Amino acid sequence: MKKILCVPFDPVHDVGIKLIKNSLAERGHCTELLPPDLSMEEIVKKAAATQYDYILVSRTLGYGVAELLARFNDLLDAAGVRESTKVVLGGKPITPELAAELGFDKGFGEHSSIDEVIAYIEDRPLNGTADNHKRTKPDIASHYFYSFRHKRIGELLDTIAEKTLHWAEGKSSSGIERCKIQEELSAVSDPSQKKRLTDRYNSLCDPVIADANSKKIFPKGVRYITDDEMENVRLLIREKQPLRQQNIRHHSRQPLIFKFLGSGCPTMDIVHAKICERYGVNGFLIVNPSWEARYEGLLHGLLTHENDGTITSEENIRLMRDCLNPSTLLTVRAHRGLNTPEMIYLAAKAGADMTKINLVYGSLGAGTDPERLTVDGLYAMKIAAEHNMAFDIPGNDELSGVPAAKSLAGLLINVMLGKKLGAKAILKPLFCYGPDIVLHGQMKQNFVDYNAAKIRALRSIVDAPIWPGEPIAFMTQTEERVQSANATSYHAALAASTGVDAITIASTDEAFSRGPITIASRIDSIRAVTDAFRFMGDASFQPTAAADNFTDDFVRKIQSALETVAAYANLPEAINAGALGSKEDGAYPGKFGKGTVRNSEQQIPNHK
Amino acid sequence: MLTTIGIAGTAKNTGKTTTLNALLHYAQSGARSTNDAPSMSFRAAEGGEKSASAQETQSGFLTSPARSRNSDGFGMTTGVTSIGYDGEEIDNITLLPKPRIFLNRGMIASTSSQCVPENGWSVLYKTGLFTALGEIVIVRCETPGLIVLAGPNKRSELETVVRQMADLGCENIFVDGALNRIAPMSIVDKIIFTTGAARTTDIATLVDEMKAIESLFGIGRTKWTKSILKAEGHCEGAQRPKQSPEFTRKTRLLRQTTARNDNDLEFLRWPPNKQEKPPINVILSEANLPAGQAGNPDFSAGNSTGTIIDATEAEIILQHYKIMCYVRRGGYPLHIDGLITSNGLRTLVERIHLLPDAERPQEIIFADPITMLLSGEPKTTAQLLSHLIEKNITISYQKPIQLAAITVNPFYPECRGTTYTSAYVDAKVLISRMKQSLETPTFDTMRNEVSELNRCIK
Amino acid sequence: MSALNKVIDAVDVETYLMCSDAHQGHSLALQLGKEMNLGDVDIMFEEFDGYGVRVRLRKYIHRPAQKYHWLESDPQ
Repeated sequence: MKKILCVPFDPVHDVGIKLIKNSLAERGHCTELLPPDLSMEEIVKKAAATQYDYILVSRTLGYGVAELLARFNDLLDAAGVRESTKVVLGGKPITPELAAELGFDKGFGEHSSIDEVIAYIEDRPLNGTADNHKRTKPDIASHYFYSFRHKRIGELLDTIAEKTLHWAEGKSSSGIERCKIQEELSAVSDPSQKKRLTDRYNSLCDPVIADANSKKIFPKGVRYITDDEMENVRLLIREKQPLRQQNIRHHSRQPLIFKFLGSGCPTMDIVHAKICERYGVNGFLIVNPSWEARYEGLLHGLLTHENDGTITSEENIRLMRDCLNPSTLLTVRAHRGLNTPEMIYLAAKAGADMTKINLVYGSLGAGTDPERLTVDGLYAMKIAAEHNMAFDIPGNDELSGVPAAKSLAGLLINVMLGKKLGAKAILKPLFCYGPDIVLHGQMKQNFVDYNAAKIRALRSIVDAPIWPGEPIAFMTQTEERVQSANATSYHAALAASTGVDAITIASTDEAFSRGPITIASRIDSIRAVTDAFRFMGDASFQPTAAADNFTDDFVRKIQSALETVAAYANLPEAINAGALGSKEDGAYPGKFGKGTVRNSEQQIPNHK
Repeated sequence: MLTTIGIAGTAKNTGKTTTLNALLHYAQSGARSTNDAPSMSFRAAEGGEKSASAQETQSGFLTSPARSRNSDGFGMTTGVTSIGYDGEEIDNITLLPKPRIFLNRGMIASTSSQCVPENGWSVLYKTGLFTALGEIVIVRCETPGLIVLAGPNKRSELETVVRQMADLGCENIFVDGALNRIAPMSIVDKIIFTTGAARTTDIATLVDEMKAIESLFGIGRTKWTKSILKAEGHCEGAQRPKQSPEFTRKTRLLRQTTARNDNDLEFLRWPPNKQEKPPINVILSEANLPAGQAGNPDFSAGNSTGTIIDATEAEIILQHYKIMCYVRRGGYPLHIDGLITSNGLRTLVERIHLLPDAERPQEIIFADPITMLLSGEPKTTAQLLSHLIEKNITISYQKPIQLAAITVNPFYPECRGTTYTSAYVDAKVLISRMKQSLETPTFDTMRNEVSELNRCIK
Repeated sequence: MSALNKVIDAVDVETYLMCSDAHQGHSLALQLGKEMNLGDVDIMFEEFDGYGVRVRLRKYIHRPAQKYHWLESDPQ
């Protein structure tokens, strides 16, 4: 037990010292708080009259204040107080150097926590870190059972899934073939076997991809990362440590925070990621170039890319995985294009934690042929299941104009398929201001009801994790930074209110499309969300009665859409017929990979 | 023979570090005459310009060890310490560049363990004393270069560090001040005071203040060594000062023979009225002054035992002094050991004025000039002391300190919102007024007068 | 017509600078002001996170009670 004298030299800014005094008193120390209007001599007399262990002085800086504090120490020294008492200075701009210059034994600034001060006084090391939450890697899907609460919808989904799985049986594609080759390549070590497999792989690729992989003739703007660049990045990671690690979440019941990466260059991504980690981001989703979805085959190697989208080669993913904290989650996109199975396999191999699969949106809004994507996607789900990778299902079709209910129906189909294949799905409804909403005015009054209703509706249907994105507040942000940060933070607060498991947040550059995203704009929105979470704590938004109507509406419409889909022979047929989004809605079934699905017995031909 | 030289300032940015650097440089160079004095004029920190020039002009002396052979140089090992933290590149408060301390091979310094440069310095001793920046370590310069000075922030610890440096061979130890702090400087033999526009831009005020400071340093050592009445504070929880058995016996006798009323018997304690519980005690005890011979500084000089003497305490002291003198039938000097405030001093002066001649102390001994300076405004203190001198009371110190020189700096940081820029008052006017009014050798920090300055401290 | 004269009050620069510690970050921020030809700038916000500093610099162009160039009619 220590004897502590608390001296508020600053009558205005004395909350800090009062807090510390209270905390110390709670811990059983003998504390005394002096009134703020004593003269310096009186304070010194008091300090000299009793043998205190510590004298805590609180003061902001200002003109002449330094000299004042210096004189205080002089008086204490001359009065013999310093023999037995440690004198400590606290205040917003105080640094150890300043405290030393002014003659104090210790200084605490605005970044010091009360815990640090208490640990110093109790003469013990600080327990743990500033991080309130344990830094173990979270598992979003871990405590969900995927049981369907809505009987009829469950039945419909079951029908659709069974029909689709049955249809897909015995079907394959070059995407699946390439994935299998990769799996084989991992298993063999004989160089001639490897060569054979690689050659076969390249033969199944688009010439652009094959040329890049075998002859190092890269598409425009793509090149290898040099050894020097690699070394510099690794050096940076080794040398720099985050200072005062922050948490975004105020408590662990608030959603995990994810951010996109995908500047095109893994180095830039990594630097951004490390800084974002320090600000408390829990995970990242790597956005790959849009052209990757158009080609058969994936590029291999440590590659950097001049334009938007970081190539998610196995090597790039592994590099990012190595550089990120082990507790940071990493998601790799694979929900569209002709390489879904391979991408997921390599991502798993490289240490990614999660991926994206959406058989519906990937073909309705992202350009891949429904049959191809279904066949590939189902195989991919199996791979994900094998490697214990959860997958999120992004409902981005809403952005094309598809009504939310249909989009959510599509998500649920993926969930059921995943369940049947042993893969854990994460629902990703959008928190956005999509075209359908704009046209029909569901968010005219407020943004709370409709978004909250989506969550409620999904919850009433299935027990599954929910991770709104992508990002939240999509289409509500402008280029104006403060508005953008605010939009993100309000949506984040709403998400926290509804108790979802995670959210993806944008930077304040979200609405600006003419250049890469800056680190400053990422920090902006992280800060905004941190504040929103602090503001909300366990409190929540109160939706109006309209939310109930929206919820019921959703459930009805989801059911109706599923009734329609279930009537078709299989999912691709339903998609092609517009059951989950028609041309009127702005949804067009994709063309890439059309006609490339084969029965397994049929030989997969070389790419023409 | 150990000499400790303190460099104190009336405020931050008065040129302490510049003065120190110049003296150190001079100690190294061992110039034969002023003509050979180093070409580095000791410039104050100028906005935007770092004293990298210090490094450039040092080049000629890089290989010579600190021990110079010349009689004008010090010819002895130099040590440098500080009562805080100095030598950092940017001023902590104004964020303007500051001069840094440049040492040469063989010089010894104290710094914090986390500020020891990677190369060129060897750690000689870990003091086990800690500051806000970590443990204080004593290092030796192997390759000439810049160092951040860090030192103990309290008097007793400074004594320890100085002693440790002396043990390691230092014969000249500089103690760098920090801001306007001075308390630990009580232990030094000589002091250089720096002042300047950073204290105030009003030249008249600067001159007046420095004059007062000079007068306070001008007070000499007491001749008394035995049987004086010493007033000291006593703090609850701290070790009670030991009373000699002789004194205890005499006290008992007094009690037995001279009881006039209860009040008198309680002259050893305050308050006379037992019911009140005092925060502090003031004790008048007989004591012998420690024998401090010139040139052999006694490090235990100026021991305060835990209070400051304010108006109340001054009253008590005089009351008891009165009684003691009556009882003991003698004129004793009064030794005020420790810190006395302006109010305390004022009370002392007022009460003494009211006393008849016979009852006044012939001499009042204060601890040392530094403690005197801590009393309050130097001008006020000097004035109060002059009232005592008027009454033919001798004022002396237990431990005097020589004010060797004064340096004046026309620079000051001008505050503009949140940033500071460099500014200067009229150097000529400032220096000439100072020199006119002061007897102590006075120098302009901006001009190259190092060798004369050096002579002052020898 | 000078664009700076049309600034009602101040120009803010927001950015993120890679640096080794808070001190260096601070100096770099001030230096940036000079490199950008703004002269002496106020650092309104700076936070060093271990990797670099997030800063906001401000240069006041017109302060209250000064001559407001933007209030006068254009010379041409």
